[in-house]
Amino acid sequence: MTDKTKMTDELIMAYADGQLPDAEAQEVEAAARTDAAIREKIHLYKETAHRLKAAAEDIQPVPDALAQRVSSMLEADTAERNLGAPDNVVAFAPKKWTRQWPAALAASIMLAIGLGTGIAIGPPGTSVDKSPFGITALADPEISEALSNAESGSIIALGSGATLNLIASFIDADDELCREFDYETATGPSIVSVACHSGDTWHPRIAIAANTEQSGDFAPASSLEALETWLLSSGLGEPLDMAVENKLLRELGMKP
Amino acid sequence: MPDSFHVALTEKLPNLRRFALSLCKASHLADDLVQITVERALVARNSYDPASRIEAWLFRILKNAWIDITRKQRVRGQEFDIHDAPDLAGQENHKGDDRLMVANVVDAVETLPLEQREVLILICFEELSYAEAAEILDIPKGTVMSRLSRARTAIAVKVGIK
Repeated sequence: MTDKTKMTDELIMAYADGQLPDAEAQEVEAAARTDAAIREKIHLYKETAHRLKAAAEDIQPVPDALAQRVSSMLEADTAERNLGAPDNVVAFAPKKWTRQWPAALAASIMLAIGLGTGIAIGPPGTSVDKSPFGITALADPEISEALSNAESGSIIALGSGATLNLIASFIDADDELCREFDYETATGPSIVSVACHSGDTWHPRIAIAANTEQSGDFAPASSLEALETWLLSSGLGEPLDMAVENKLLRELGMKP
Repeated sequence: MPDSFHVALTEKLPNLRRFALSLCKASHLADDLVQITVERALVARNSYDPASRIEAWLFRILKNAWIDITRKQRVRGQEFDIHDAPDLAGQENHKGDDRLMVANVVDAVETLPLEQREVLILICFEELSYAEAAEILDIPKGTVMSRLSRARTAIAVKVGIK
């Protein structure tokens, strides 16, 4: 005896789509034999599937411009693979297709560095060491203070005249708090970075210096793509919501 | 000898673009989204399991890229003109009469809310399983099924399937 109350729309649809195991499919069939409403629904789902499948065959080719951009990316990828890039080279270093981004994403990446060890962002009171990576700006102790205190979405004017935009927070695989931010100076490059907190210090994991000539506002989108590519492989996961971020920042503030 | 990964990627470009269009609706944004997807796929190709369907893996990258872009939009407020992306952050601009008849099934798909449209595209256009769609969209399979069921009931009404 079939329990008709189990015949939900979802179950009937799954039957019509052939996505039910045999036992359940037989139950739907049995119910349909005695219930015209179920038969009508099976017809509805089969017919919509049929018409949508037919419509799907009429797929548009990609525009030539996109096809060419992708083709260039694949050529660059092939060239890079043939070169056998050493392991310590970051995969998203400038590639030739960066020149082919559309106007909205046009500005070029000048520098992309993965910082596994590298410099630390100085805590307040430390001297600003010369960075081997040429991004001494990140050693500004005011940045460290802002990373430890200001919530994402904050825009902070630093004493140096630069502006710090706090973008988002993450937790890394070691349970450390990481923060994504932009650092912008009036004259120099804009830097997009992710720094993680360990041992009472903020360590940049990545810093991307972006040419700001074509953008009076935030870092250009192409540098964001490099950052997002890095985020994808970094294991940082989804950005934290504000409540969690606030809690973690408070905990950070209470540490000795 | 051509790189089989590149060949598979190229073959799926029209499908990626169709899915991108279903998310953001503006063709220049969709093109950028496809390009970002290809870039990420090339970087992450070692994480692709050749035993699984490449389109499911690519759709997931594309969907995540779209989430990242909408997140940046919320935080920065400067990357895109909001009018270019009417469905940004899941906000719908369709408030039309559900009973309104449309000329064909493609037009009917266009009138669906984003959350129903993306499920429908993946399953009925791209012929992915419920489980694959759930994985791509990072939602439970039951949610996929209820959205798909509602989407198809709405389409049946709009195109007059009885």
